[in-house]
Amino acid sequence: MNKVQKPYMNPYLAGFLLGLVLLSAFFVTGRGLGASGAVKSVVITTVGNVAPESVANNAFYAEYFSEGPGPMKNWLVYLTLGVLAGAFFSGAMSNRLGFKIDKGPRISSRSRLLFAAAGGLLFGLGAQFGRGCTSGAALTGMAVLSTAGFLTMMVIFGTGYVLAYFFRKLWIK
Amino acid sequence: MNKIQANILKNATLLFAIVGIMALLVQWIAAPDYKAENEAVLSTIANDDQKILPLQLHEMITTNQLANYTLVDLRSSHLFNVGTLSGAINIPFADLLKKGSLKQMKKHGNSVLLFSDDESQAVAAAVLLISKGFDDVKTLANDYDYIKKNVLETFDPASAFSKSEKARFDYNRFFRTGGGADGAPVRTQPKIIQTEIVKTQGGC
Amino acid sequence: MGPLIPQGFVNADLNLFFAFIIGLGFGYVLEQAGFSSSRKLAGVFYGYDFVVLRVFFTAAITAMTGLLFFGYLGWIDWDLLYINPTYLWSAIIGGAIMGFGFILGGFCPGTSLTAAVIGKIDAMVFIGGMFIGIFIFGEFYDAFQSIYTGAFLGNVFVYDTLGISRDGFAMLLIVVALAAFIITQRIEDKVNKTPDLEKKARPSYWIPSAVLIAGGLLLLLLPSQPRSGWHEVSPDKILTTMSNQHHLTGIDEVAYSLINGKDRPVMLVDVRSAEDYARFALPGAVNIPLHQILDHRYENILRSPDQKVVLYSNSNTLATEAWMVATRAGIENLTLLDGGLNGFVQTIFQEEHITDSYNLNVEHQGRFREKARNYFLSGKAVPKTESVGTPVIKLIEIEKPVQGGC
Repeated sequence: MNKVQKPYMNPYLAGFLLGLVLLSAFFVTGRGLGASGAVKSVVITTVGNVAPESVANNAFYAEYFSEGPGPMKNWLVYLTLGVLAGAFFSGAMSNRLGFKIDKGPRISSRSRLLFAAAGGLLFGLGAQFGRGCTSGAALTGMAVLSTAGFLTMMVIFGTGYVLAYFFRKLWIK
Repeated sequence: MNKIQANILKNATLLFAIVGIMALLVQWIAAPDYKAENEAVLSTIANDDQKILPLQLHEMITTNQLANYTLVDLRSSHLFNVGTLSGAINIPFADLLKKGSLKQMKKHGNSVLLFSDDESQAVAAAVLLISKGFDDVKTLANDYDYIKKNVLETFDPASAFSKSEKARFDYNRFFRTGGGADGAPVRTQPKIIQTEIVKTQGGC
Repeated sequence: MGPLIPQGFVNADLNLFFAFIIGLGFGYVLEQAGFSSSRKLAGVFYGYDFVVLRVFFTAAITAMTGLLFFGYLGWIDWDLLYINPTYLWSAIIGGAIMGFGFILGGFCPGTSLTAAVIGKIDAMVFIGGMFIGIFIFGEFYDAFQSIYTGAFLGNVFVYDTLGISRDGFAMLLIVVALAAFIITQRIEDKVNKTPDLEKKARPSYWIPSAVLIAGGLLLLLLPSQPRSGWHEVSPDKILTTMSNQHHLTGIDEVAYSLINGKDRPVMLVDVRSAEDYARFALPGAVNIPLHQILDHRYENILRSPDQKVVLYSNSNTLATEAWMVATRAGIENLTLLDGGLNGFVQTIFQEEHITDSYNLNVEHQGRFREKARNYFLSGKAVPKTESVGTPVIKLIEIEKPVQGGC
């Protein structure tokens, strides 16, 4: 059952195609990509269903419930559904489907998962402040030449490089 | 595999380059010969300081400022011969954009002063010249006969600020409204424009 | 042309559908590039795999160059694009937290989605962590709010902040990207101790690089806007139309339309100022002041396919200016009221009408004008809004960054 995994795409070609996807997003809809927004929508919907009183007093949630069709009928949610479908299709075509934990050689799977959760928490929090993540703020922002895009991109990667040494055990020998 | 994909990349970029160059060529060839953007022309004429009102013309004549401009009479050659502004050349409106005409108008650089027997014709010529790159274009308000009578012969102060766009009547007196159902006068309402707001959004 | 949906060229209800389709492409390419592996992603920080930089930078450059060229050709209106707003401290703090998260987690949100869906458990846990992080932000929003909404510099462009020209910055970015590709390749080879044989077997990218640099140079050379669009009408055509007076609509025709609106509907456009329009306007006229005649929102009205559009002002002058600018922009079959309001009142109300003449045309016209005069004076010219459709303008608004909007 071990099918040979197809190799990854040439990175420059992938970048080129990604650029075209981004360009067509702008051409058709006037906006670029974004990933964390959909996760935010799910959080908001969940909190709204589970604890509606806390939503009423909170400025963060208020905007999503005061107008319109609600947080789930949202451009980013549909984009994300497409991302999931597209990625699954690619994985299936390249025989890359399968449960797995990617990690550096020096740590255990358990540690990896703990750090993954921590990383996700930080990214979720940081993406709110940054009004986007690497796709929404940095990539899209750079394509339209916005200051926010370049600034966010530089701080993300700058911080990563500074901290890389201290956490090298997670990834390298 | 990598080589094949690099090849695809190469071909794709070349394809885009070719399409891009063709689009630019089409743009270059098909675009009409204007030297100024439409929006720029609009903001120039919306300023409304091209129009020289009778009072200003009077001052320009007495201080000999007219010599700085190429004076262009847009009327027919027949009317031109009967009498015109001293020093003016005759370019009938229909011949305005001919090569020879444009050359004649460049005598004083880009400074041109236009007039006609119809103020709107002078203004039309001004718009065309501005879009052709002339950046100092003026027009005389009112038609030539009016100017002749009220400025050139003897200056009539009552005409100082006269121009064709001045409202000559109180229009409301003529489009009166009859009584409404309850007897109160009904004001004719202009058509209401409904606006539909389509938002582009963004974010992560 | 673009963006299509905000300008109404494509049904706005399809917006969500397009989001899905675009997402398909996005997800497919990300996974194909290997972004579904956290080990590959983390490689950018340790030198053993610069795939993140290659894909990311190439995508940004491609999209940017495409957008700039589209803008020049008029295929996209930059004014309608969403430009990320800059909140200085929020961006920096957010970026730092995200950078930390990247090192610990090895993912960013987009890549975690592509990884999770193919089965990567670390990605699924990462996503779980994101839920918690967002929830925390929401719970403590009151504390964060001042940073989050503070130091708003506007939707500024990076070249303005740096004080250089837009096309200059684009060229600079292209050069930096190409240099980065070369340098990081060297670093990667060193870290991985790539054998020479493998290095030599690599394809050369000089053609796409050359195309890119040529594109950047072209952008530098071209002005930011072409001086005229290919869809514009030539000055000679405008001159000819005016010389033949085909751009004029007679007073009688407009009067007839005001009286018998259903029959030959005419769309009257008042190009004077809003004050003049408020003081008086012909029944049923809409107001598009001269300085707004090229505004996108009014394009639908000026291009009304089933009605004759007649611009008017007090005389011919202002209406002519509006007519010329609008006609050059490509709006067809536009006319203006010959004589304007002054002429209208003069002809219909002030002049003696010849209602008895051996010339039937003169008599017909005289009788009509007399009838019109009485009609207007008695106040029967109420706009028949039922017979003529109310014009709908689509206003395009870029949604300003809202509190808590991401």
